[in-house]
Amino acid sequence: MSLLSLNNVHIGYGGIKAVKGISVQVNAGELVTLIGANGAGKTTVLKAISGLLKPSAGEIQYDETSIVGTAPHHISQRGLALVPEGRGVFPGLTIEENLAMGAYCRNDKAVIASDMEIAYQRFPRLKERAKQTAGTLSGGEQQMLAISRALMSRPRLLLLDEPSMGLAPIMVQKIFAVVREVAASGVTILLIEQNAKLALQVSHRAYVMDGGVITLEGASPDLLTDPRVREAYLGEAA
Amino acid sequence: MTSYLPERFRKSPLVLTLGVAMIVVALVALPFVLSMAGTAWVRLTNFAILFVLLSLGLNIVVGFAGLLDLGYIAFFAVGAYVYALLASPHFGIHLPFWIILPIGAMVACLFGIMLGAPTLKLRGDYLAIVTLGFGEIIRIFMNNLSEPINLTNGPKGIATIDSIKLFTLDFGRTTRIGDFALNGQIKYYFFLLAVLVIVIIINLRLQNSRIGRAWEAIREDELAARSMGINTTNLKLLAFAMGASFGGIAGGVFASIQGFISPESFTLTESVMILAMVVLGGMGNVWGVVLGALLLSFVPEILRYTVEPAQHAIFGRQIIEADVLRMLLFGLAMVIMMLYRPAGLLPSAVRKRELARSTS
Repeated sequence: MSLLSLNNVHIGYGGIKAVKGISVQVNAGELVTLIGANGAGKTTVLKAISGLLKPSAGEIQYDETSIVGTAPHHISQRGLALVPEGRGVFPGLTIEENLAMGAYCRNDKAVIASDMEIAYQRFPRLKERAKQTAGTLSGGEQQMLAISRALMSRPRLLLLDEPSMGLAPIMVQKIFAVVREVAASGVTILLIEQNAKLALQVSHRAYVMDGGVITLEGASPDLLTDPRVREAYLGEAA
Repeated sequence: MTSYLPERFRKSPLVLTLGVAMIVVALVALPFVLSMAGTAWVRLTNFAILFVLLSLGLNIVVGFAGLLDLGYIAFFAVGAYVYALLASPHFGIHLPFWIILPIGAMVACLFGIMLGAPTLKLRGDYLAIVTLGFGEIIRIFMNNLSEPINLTNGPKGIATIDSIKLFTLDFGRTTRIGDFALNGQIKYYFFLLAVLVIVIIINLRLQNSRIGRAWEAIREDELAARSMGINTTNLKLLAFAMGASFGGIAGGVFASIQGFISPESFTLTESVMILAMVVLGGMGNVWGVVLGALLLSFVPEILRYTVEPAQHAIFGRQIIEADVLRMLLFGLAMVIMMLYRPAGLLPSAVRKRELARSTS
């Protein structure tokens, strides 16, 4: 059963068409990645899914119902969490407050507290700095916080926008390990990445996007060995 | 209730009770002490409280939600005109204040939404420009709506506005109980004090509520706030509407104290003044804003009464006018503040952190 499906979606900014008719399926329990170069339209797709942009044509279905034109806060209340590009933590709020904000739509205080504990176990670093403001964290720590905050809403579908952006290689490894772990815990993930190699290594299936269209799709292990992908995105001669 | 107070008070209930009792006694005694120096001082205090009310209203928009509003005086004007039109010989309508003040708040609230709705996508400088224009539009309307139907009486303003009447107590007259005289300004003082206490409680509760936290999130990062499931549209409108309602109530009381209003009272300078009070005190911190408003209301008046006699005593003649000195001191205070306390005299915790971050 597909949890999220995009059918022939077109998205434009004014006169410029950023996304020209793409179709993507994400099944429940899957970790799907959308890879592509800068400017391929990946972030635009995520914004449309989370309701921040309205597609000019096409259909987006989440959990069997159309979410085109639904307000972002309604979409997020239905269990879809976005980790925005560049992390988007609240820099002036403490880590604890940031996490609490992630649970904004939930009311059960006991469960929220236990979820916060889970977040701290996953990233002990965050616990050490719970009372510190998010703005004082390093890029990697902010990414940890952004992911933890998104998980505080107990999402069914997690949208990750370039979690590796601007991070040290060791931090990227750490973040991806967590992404894999979150996926294993049953959360469906749509991961957007420029780091094609890592994204293909952690995901089940992948879509390759270029110039606003999907150019390739398939099982990630297959794409990892596909000569076209190797040449264009992994920087290896075919 | 105690959770709003600083840590050191929360720990000791005795100090807290004593402190509150002393403040209550001081506030009750204040107008009687002041009226010994002249009723003018009670009147000044009343105007200071009006400015505190306005600053607290603006603080919701600027301090909590982070929306820079340079036309806030417009809501004050709307409230004042609603009161004036419904309680003066201008239309011959004389409604009691407890009907007009809520109407004024509601009309101001509507104007708040009218300003908020089209500016939802604007931030920072751009929003400031639109709100500035809005403030001027309202003032110009007040100035010109005397034709074809005489709605506002134009620049001549509306006079002989009814004073507030509470049961048999007319706030416009002096009441005598035996030898004890209670003049109008003292009655207004207690009325304003009651309104102020309510408004402060609402502000404090808002700050620590779900709504307050959502505003904080919007101020920090609107996109992230939206993806947390926060309805940013409604919450921004709510900030405008609530801020405007407080302005409307203050405007109504202003009209009744003054007995006369004209568009001249609602200029851009007033908007800037209220914003300065919020910024000086500490955006987002209720007590800071109260302090800022009181300081900026009283200091110029104290200067007015002290500068000239002081100069005469020292130099034998007046070298500098009180008004000129006031502007000089304002400028100096602003520079010193920006250097040493950029987040205000009593900054809010979050604002302080935000500033610390941007300068580090």
